[in-house]
Amino acid sequence: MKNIMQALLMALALSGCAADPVQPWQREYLARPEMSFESGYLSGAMRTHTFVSKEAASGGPALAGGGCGCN
Amino acid sequence: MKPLQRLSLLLALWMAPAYALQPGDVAPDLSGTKLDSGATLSLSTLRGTVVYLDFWATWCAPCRVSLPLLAQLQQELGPRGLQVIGVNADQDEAAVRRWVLDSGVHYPVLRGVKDETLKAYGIAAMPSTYLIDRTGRVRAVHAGFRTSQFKAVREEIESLLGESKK
Repeated sequence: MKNIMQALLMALALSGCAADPVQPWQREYLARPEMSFESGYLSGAMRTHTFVSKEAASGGPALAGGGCGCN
Repeated sequence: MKPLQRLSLLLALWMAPAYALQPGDVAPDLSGTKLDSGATLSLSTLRGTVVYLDFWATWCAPCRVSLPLLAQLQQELGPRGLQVIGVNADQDEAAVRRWVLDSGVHYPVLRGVKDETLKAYGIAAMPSTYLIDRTGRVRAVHAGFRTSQFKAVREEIESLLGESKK
């Protein structure tokens, strides 16, 4: 019981780290090309295309976590 | 209530999603500085007109696509009571002026809107648009912009323009 309480308290304390996320209108600097994980736009686009076709899924790198979050 | 239950409740509340504006809600008042004149404009002064409130930025590609279309919309439906308002979120004002000029935007573009106000709208993505009727209520919320859906948006606006002020 004590361990559970400690774990919950720790989860609560750590959740405070993400309590104020970057808002969509604050992503100006994150949307810059130099903020991308890829060094080149074309190679990044190719890599993403391959990833999407292999995984049968889309979205991810330029949505919620970073980038401009557009659409 | 047991301590564990209390803690679980606290955690559930902590993780509850932020409130986002829904159709039917009264649009929170919003004021900012007009890009062209530097004058202050408040949303509350536009009661009686249908307002298409567009939150945008130059670093957002779909926003840039939407600007000329919104300018055309304002030109065509403005005489019938539509007012498009752009709310810009850029740091670089010079870039905003360039885009506004290149896109032929003549409707008011506001800057310097407070973060608290932007949070009150619950903006989920850029661009986000809110269609506000003549009584000041939000009637439609759109996150993102797709040209393929613009016809449907125009129909929503025309439907609101046909309503009288209650």
